[in-house]
Amino acid sequence: MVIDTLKCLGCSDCVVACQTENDVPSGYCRDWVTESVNGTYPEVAIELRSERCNHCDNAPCVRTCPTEASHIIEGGIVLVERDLCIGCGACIESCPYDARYKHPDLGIVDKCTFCVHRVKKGQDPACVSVCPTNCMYFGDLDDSNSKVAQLLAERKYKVLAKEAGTSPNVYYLI
Amino acid sequence: MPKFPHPEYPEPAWKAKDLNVNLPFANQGVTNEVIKASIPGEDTTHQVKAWMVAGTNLTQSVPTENNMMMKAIKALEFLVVIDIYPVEIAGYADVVLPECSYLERYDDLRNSEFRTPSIALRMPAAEPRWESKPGWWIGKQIGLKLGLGEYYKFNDYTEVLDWQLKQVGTSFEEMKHIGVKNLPRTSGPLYIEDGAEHIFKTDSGKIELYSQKLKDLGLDPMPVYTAHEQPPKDYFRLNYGRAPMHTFSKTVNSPNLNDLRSENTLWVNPKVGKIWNLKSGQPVWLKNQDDVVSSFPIKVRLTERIRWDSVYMVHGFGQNNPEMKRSYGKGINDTEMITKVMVDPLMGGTGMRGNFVTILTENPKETV
Repeated sequence: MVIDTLKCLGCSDCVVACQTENDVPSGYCRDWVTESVNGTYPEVAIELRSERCNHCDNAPCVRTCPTEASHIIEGGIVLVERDLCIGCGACIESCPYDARYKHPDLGIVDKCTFCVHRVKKGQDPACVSVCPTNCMYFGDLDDSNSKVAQLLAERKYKVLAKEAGTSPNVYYLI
Repeated sequence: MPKFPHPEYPEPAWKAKDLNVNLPFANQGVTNEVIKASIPGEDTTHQVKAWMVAGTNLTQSVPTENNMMMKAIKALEFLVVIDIYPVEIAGYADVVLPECSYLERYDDLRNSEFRTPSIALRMPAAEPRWESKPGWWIGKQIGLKLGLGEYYKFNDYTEVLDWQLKQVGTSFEEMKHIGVKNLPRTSGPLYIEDGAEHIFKTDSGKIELYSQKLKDLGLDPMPVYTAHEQPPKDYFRLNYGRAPMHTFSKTVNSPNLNDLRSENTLWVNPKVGKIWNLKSGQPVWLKNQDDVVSSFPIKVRLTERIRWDSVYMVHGFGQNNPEMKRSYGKGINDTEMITKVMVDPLMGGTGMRGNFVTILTENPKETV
């Protein structure tokens, strides 16, 4: 996923779309918007970022999961197998992005799935599909012709918590 | 978009525009003039005795001087409020007509005339809850009770929509399936072409930087800079704006949107915060230049996004009807703190950013 921070307004439509699409319980979220303010007035720069699970290639949540509930599927999406999850929370502790929460009713760990149920039908994740500024892009980074690959070839970008060595797959255009 | 046929409306004895006093360029009704005309004893051309307020929480959206809003509300002989929420203004109403939300009703067609002309059908996604009704139904029922049935020659609003859609080459049935339809542009180019002769709607037909019209009325023909008032010592200019998820003050009670942002904060520059010994998250109260104290506290947010001489808050919070269960008493209502309204002498437009507030760190109601 590639997100253009220069186009994001921070409206949080992505958050509500995810909550309704994925039946996220009230008061919880799988994606959220962060505002970072750099500099001092009047030289101030503001960056708004829609954040979520980074679906890391080297995912600490997968390594720390004692039951192999957290796993990476073909294509790179990190998922939690609900039937295997015992809700121990080791993955929550290990995630440098704080992208997981314990579901208050189910007692298992929940997080962004990149809307895999939509992706399998050829649709974009809910957050991407509703963004009013079209600041989010979803696609196959291994395909050099894909929009996401082209954007990363053309634009300056960053990933979050690079120092954690997780090889995240959400890229922010800056 | 052609209008659904109805008999000619009779000419009203007077219109809101006729209430305008000394506003030479106001070509429509001015809200503040209507409020003034509702208070007995004010200088006005006609007395306003009743309001029908649709979808506007006036106490939270129209700041007035000298408490004129409340004086007017109390003086009215009859007040009807149509709203989808039990907002504060509904508490003052003689009659409340609960409307269903836009997701539960058919509305007028969305008719976009610009770059690519398009029409869109606004259709319900769910059934109305409880006794709430669509706006068109409320309008028609009032019309029938007043014996004006001839103006409402339809049973259901979809008949009006179907008639209109058929005039422009589609139908209700088609639009129910496609939702939005683009139409060919027939009204000429969108922009004035390069080098084309264009006559503007001015006396000279050109863009007028010097206005003879203004001069003839004894006004400045060209704008003259007027210095704006600066905040007194220990006061800050009160600025207000919107958060992108809360487009209207009523959205603060929507479960999903309230979950995203449930109260407003008072933006204060960190340098000011240091001098005033304020911490982010600390509740404070505000007092303005007219000694009006906020009903509720607001939490401080120290941020470089605000100037040293100003504070800022998002509009729409500080809801003052306990029936607004999620949002009641959360944050400050900016409208409450705006008691100075600057009026443009030409057309009656209002400026609300000339108000100054000081920060109270103790609850003023407890110390009184």
